Amino acid sequence: MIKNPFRPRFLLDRWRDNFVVALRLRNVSGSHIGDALALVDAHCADSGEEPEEAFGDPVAYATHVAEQVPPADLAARVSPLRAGLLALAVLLAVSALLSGVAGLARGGPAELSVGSLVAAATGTAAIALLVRFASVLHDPRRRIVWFGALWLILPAMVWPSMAWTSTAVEVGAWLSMAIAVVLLAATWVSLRAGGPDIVVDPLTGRDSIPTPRWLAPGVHWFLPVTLAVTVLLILLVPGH
Amino acid sequence: MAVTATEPIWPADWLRGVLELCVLGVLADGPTYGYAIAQRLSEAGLGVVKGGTLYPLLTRLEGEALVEATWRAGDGGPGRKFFELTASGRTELSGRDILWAEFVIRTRRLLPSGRPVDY
Repeated sequence: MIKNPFRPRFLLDRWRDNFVVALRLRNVSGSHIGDALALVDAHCADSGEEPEEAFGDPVAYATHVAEQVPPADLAARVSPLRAGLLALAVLLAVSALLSGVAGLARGGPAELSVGSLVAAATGTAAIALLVRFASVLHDPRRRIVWFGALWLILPAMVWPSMAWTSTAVEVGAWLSMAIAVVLLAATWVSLRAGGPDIVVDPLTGRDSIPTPRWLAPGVHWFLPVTLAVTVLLILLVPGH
Repeated sequence: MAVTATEPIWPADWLRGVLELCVLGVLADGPTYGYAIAQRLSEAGLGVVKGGTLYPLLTRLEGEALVEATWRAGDGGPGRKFFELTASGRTELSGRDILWAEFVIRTRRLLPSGRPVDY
């Protein structure tokens, strides 16, 4: 299946890679993608043909496959409301964490600025809207607008933070950090509970696209470990 | 109809119309997998049916509960998905088989090769 010896083992060849991405963009579930991928593998093994020869263009074939299977229940998994709430929790947590650390460094309370709250609200609305209109990713001509809007989120959040620096909320520095930790923990648990819609091999029931063992736990633990190390380093800096 | 030295090349829209019925017909002989179905169609003189045409059709038949499918482990290679007619698939095939036979009779009556010869 994999022609290039220098290509990492967990990557598919170009045809299969394009096929899987095209199916994902057409809202096909991981189990149906795994089934379609296994059919391609089986047919090519039996016929000795390359996927391009037997199935043609991967995107066109993905379109045919997507028309025959029920769409994945992505709306429930990634609804605009859920995405917005997760974004709000993360943005508020980051603001609370930064202002808590700043408060500790000054020896005073944590101060959340008007700008940081506006930035959190802006980011929340933007993420919810991007998820709401994620279907435009299917359309190559309108996809650019979606990505353009994605890139605009950052300046749209940075600008209010810099423009409105007056204090909106004042809480104890430790309380602010505790709120941040609780919000991040809740987000992390929520993301883990959702579970990834992996491409499942129909025979083994395992991930069809083998990933390195460290990748899944690495992704899951990256945020909490980085957060914990950052807070510890800040607290251990001489002067506190 | 284009004719080669060995096999005729059927117009694509003819094949589109009859392929589903032929696949049901192949499956009436027992459970089998995609590549074997393609081979049977080819041996019957229908030409090469590509995987990109065959599998979406089989998936549609599965979705309509005319066919059920199970994955079986392969011998040293990837597994194979076996397709089998369901009871409603057999009923559907019987109905379409009779209709197709009638369709062929009526079509032939319109064509010079099928008209009665006047003596």
